[in-house]
Amino acid sequence: MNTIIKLTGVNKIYRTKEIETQALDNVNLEIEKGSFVSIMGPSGCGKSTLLNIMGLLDNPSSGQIEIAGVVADNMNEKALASFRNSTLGFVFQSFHLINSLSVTDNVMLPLLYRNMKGKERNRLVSEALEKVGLSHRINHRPSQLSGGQCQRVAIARAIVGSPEIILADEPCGNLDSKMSADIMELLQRLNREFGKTVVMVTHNEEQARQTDRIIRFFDGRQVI
Amino acid sequence: MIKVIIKNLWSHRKDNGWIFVELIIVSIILWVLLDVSAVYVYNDTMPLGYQSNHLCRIDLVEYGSSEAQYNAEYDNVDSRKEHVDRIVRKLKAQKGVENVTYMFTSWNFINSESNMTYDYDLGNQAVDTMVEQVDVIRFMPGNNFFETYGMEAVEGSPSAEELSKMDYGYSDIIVTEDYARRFFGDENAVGKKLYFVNWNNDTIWSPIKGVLKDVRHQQFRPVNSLVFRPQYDSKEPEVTMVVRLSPDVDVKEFVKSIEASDDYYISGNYYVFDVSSYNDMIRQVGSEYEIFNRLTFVLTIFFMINVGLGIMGTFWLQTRNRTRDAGVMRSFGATRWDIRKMLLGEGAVLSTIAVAIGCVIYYHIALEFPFLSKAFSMRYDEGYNIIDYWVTNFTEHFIIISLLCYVVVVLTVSVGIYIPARKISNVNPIDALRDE
Repeated sequence: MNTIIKLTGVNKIYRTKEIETQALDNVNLEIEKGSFVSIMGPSGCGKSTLLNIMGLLDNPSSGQIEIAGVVADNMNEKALASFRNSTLGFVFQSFHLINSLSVTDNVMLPLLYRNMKGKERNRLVSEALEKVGLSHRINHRPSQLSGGQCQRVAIARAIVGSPEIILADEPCGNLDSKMSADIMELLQRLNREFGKTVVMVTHNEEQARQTDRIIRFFDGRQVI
Repeated sequence: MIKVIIKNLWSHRKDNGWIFVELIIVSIILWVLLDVSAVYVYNDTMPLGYQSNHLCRIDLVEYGSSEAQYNAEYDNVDSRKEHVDRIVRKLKAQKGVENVTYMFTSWNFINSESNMTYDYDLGNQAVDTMVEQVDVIRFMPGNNFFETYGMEAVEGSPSAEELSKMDYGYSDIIVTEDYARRFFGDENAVGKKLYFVNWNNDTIWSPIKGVLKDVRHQQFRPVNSLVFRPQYDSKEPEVTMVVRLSPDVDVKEFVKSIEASDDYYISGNYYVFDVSSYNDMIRQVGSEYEIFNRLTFVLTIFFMINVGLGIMGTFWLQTRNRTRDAGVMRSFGATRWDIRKMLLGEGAVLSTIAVAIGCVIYYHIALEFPFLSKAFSMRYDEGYNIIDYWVTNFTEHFIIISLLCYVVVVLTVSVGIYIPARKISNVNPIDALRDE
């Protein structure tokens, strides 16, 4: 088995003055390279927290995270940023595109933090947009696109730097069924044709069934 | 990165437009205020050309004919000189007094308008004749004038002590190095001649006996060209004495001792009317003559603080609104510094263009209205032959103040951006992405 994500004894506790909330409770999880995994569970069960921790956007209160053979514990800010840039691609429920930038510039964003020539950047952006079928919208702004198109742009941004892992947090949450189907198809294609490991948080059983493996969460604990 | 910065600026052009206009207006006003302050500060730091430390001025005046102490016997040129010399001897005998000089005039080095202005001419066969107006200072040979003041001669000229002792003809002159350079290209002017036309329309040739380093004639002006002419006698009754004290003497104590000397320094009809230290006079002149400049200086600081706060506030709001963008960028590999760099870059580009436009606008306004161009190209009253330096050079002056203006605006904008930029770049990406 070729594990690309390994979580060992991960806990996440949110503390305020009044209360202490255990968002993740002793999570031990391994995800294989090249798999398409969905994480399911009711709202507030810790799915997104788990995804953020896998994406090194958030720190666990305790436990160890190993991504693509690298233990994240001892990474400084610069190394962490560089690792996120090269290994991880994020797709968010509300797209999180930068409205002031065009489609091209949004997709190019991860490449700006790499030492790369402009020509090479443009080539990679064109390729990514072609993969998501948006080559004809390169100069549009996010506000000029439909929700599905925005999510395609977000996916293009996630894959432009050729990361091994795509972390998608309810990528179809804001889309209608037709657009959701398109996005699911796109994610599956990225997984099958390009070998990307996709970890997707979803509420939708039907979408989850389209993935290789379903991980279910309840009250911060992995139940399946 | 620069491409992204420009794209960001363009895409936020509605918000940035107002800031941009604000920055242009700020640049123009700042130019005017900074100009006055910068020139004032620069001039104030220019060397005096004489040693004002441990230097005192004593004004002697005569009793008037209606006063009880008046004696008609002493009311003549010879007697005046004799009694002044007696007071000088008494002063020189006082402990701590190194040198004393005097002149029959109320003139002194830091504030006097009572000087003569001559037009000296090179008289080069009237082919390429040049006339340079200059302030003329009278000194009495043989009474330690130059070394008491602590002036210095340039290399190749007799020393200050030698110039004080030298015998002079009626039209002999000593010039400052700036004046020598105006005619001869360098300060090697000893032995050369200039001429002026006197009130009787006679041409008077003036051999140059010495060249002194530049001196600031008036405290509130920069160095200007000077010519020193000997004065062997005078019908002026007023006498100004200048006393050089040793470095170990407390000048204030000396001033007090002269003030408390009662009739010790009375001789003939002369008595000590006033005594003060040069440094005190410089401070006093500063407060009297430079009040406008000081006011402008304070106004500039006040303006800069207000504008700074305004600009910072505007950028603060704008930058705070970019929290979500910062979260997105960090999710895709930007470091905190990358975020700050981009936001600071946006501010720098915006400021650079705004200041450039503001300065060009001011340049055209200044050319259109001569009183403004005078304000930065020929700051000083016409007729004062001040040294050729950046303030008097239109191009240099414009570039220097514009650069200063640029630095101030960029720094202000950068501070305005950096504080919120630092804050948003430190927000956890997850929290930043929640910021809608």
